[in-house]
Amino acid sequence: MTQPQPDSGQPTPEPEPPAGGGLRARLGGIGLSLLGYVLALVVALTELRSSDSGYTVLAYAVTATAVTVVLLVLGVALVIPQRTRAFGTGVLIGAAIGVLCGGGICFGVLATI
Amino acid sequence: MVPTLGHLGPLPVNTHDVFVGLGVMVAAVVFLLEARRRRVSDERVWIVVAGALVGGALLARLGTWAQHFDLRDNASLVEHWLYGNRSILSGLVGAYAGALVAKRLTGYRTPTGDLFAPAVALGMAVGRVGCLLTELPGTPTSLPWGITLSPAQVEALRPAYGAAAVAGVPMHPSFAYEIAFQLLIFCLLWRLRDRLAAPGELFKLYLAGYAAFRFAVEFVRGNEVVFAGLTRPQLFLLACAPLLAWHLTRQARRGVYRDAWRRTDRQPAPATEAAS
Repeated sequence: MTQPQPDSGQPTPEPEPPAGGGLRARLGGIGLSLLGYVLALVVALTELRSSDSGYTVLAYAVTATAVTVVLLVLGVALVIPQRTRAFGTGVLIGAAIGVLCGGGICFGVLATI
Repeated sequence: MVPTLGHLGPLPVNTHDVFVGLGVMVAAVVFLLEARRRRVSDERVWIVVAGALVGGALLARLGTWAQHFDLRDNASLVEHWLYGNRSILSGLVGAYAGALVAKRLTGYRTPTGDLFAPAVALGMAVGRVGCLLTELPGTPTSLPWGITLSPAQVEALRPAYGAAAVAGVPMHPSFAYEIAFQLLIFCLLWRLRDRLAAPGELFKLYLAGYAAFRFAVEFVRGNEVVFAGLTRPQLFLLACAPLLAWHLTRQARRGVYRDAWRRTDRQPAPATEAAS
């Protein structure tokens, strides 16, 4: 009796986890990213107590940009290993949402204070 | 003009960015519904989503950096990132490129354009409401639906738009035109989603439709005219048009759009089986 042999010329595809299995990890990653932007806003608002609002907007801009860079690097690093892939994907999605609207919302808040 | 929607405690709620956020959420819901309908089970599709979002977000903010042919006249990338405007067109280019890079890195070969297209259209319709409520509407018009700004509204818009913001003159509601277009093309894409012979073709159709619409609406948008009577977005679209036209012509010759208007509803092709 012959057993079917795997095609030795083809690389064996990495097994994918079942659909929805990484949903919680993805949501966790998105949450972590958005928390980063909230923290940047809190830092800037703390600055507001001790300085004028123009400086606060700049403080937020710099902090949020630093948060974006950190999240993008972290997200890419976490996406590479299979074990943390879903979480890393969430971090990247959250960073993008933060850039698209989180940054803007916080700028708007600070500019009108 | 409605720059803020109210206050959350002591904090004002910025209208434009709330609608951008709502647009992202609506797009996510449509994407999830479509992914479920097409029985997408491969986790790598979420990396493609992340790639598209990151590429779109980064290029939406940095894509408008090169405003002048003489590069020394442009702001530095850091200044542009912090204070520059955002662009839907460069965001779409970034999203497309980001999805392609993510697919290449993960080896995911299934076309994903059919998943993205209706989501992007409806998300843009919602997001543009924020533009309609906060930005300079368009060029002057004598049409009855023109938007007339009050002196106070003009005062608020002057820092961003300068002399283009004028009080007491009706102006084209160019963002309302775009919202109507996005809703129309969303309905069209929804209808066509199981009728095209090539997977992934919906997004290219959306891009072609939006490019044509955007080129036309720029004549009443009120953006700065920079060369030959055309604005920067129009020049960008002119450069991209041959590529899109070549692709659509080639697909039409292959019969991809042949059944688009016939009453033959196909079953949704599961994304995992739709690779070409």
